[in-house]
Amino acid sequence: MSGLNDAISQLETDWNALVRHWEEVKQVWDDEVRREFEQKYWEELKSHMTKVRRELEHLQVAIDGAKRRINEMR
Amino acid sequence: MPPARVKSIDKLEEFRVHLIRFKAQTLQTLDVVELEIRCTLDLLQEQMDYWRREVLRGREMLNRGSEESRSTARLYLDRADANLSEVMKWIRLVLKQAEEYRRQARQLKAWLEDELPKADAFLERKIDTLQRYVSIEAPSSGYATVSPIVASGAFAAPVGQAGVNEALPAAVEFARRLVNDICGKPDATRTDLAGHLISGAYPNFQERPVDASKYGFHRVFTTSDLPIIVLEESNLTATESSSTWRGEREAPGWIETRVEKKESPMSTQWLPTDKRIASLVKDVGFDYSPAVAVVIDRERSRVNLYVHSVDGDTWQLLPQAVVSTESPQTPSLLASTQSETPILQSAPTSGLFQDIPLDQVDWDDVGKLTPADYQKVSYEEMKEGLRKFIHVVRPAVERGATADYFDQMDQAQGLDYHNGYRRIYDAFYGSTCIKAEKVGGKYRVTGGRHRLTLARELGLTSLPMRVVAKEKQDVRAE
Repeated sequence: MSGLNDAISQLETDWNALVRHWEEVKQVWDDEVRREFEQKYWEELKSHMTKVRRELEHLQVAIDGAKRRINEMR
Repeated sequence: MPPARVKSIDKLEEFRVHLIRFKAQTLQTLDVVELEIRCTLDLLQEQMDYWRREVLRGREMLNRGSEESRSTARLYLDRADANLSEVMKWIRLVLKQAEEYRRQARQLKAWLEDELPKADAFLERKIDTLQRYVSIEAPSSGYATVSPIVASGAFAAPVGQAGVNEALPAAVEFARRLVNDICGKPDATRTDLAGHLISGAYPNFQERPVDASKYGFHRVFTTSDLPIIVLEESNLTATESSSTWRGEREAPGWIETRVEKKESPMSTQWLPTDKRIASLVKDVGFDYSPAVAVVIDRERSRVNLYVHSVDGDTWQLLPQAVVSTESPQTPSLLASTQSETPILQSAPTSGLFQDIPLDQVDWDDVGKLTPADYQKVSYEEMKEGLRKFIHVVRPAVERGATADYFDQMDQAQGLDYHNGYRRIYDAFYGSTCIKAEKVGGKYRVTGGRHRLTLARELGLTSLPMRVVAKEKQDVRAE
């Protein structure tokens, strides 16, 4: 597995863990302040993560493709 | 104000830790990705250079060779050309995707650097508010999370059912200010409480007449601003402790009190504080129902908070309530209360345990340390430990958590000692805490240089240390 694949996998693991913890927090915290936090911070982080993960996938396709072709050329 | 609904403060605290950890891990991962992009582009660049050279070689072969070899050279040149074009195409594609990714990664990084600390502070405030104002169910286990905490918005909500009324935050804040005021005076033990409450910063307080011999409080203050009652312990009840301002057990003051008690054994004043508050509130009758009682024991420079539970009409002591520790055993703690940390909780371990500003440490003596010097505990491991200390352990200890609390936390999270919070507690408040001696105006650290150095690197301004008093040093030196 390449360094990039490892990194993507690590990012996924960390993000999923944080999402899981947030879901747990939501189970025990249900008020306006939580919703404010969610709207102000959590949703924004989620949006950034979604974009980064999407671009990482595209990047991964490009890098993997490039490396594969280079190997074939040799 | 809409009701707050939080069933577990621990979960919020844990989430804060995970959030901080996520930041560190993600920044590290983004660095790895960036490295991978660069490596890939380097590789592609090498390939481009290689095929460029091969194209030139093919052209030379084509120009110099015979008819037969030119045919081979043509094939070779065509292949090199095609490969060069393809490598350049991949370079453009990777660059384009890398740029798209970097744009998003920069935004994520900026968010992690700028906004995540704000999110963390938001949670910290929320947790702080809840923890200062909730009733604690299990004082014996140190500090514990209450089961459903529902801020009701009404005065004197049932504390036993974990209700916290809206007035409590204001009352606690008031108590803190009061402690600061009292502790901030050079002659704190002689500070006139009435002067504080009736004038200056607390103009709305009024003193109420009270029968000290009946309730054990010799002064009582109320205000129309808050459902709060401020009580000052009378000297008589203070002597119930075996070691008080009136002397040790069997001392004249103590004996005198025992005699008084024998003469009037049924007097309310001999009852525990919570019972005396209940009795006083019931007997005196107020325009409103007090929700919080601030009990000041000036002689011992101690302030405790009691909250009213409607169920059974009882008063409960907040175990982690505001405590000003100025006692003959810990004279230097008063000085600490005047510094950066205005209210120092009772020390979780014995001895002179203080929150020492790092700018008062003798850094020349500590010396310079590099990450390579962290051998017993690695630099990264210690960094992680300090993060746990900053975000979980220290705030919890400041609210009264003890070793048991962290044992329970580790157990709940399935953490062994090595990776758990108890280890961090021990490293700062337990047997392996940082130790220092006061030499002149500086603190000379005798154990904990690595923690101290890293703490300063992480931007901490103070750390708890067990301080050997100067007198002791002198004696030892002799």
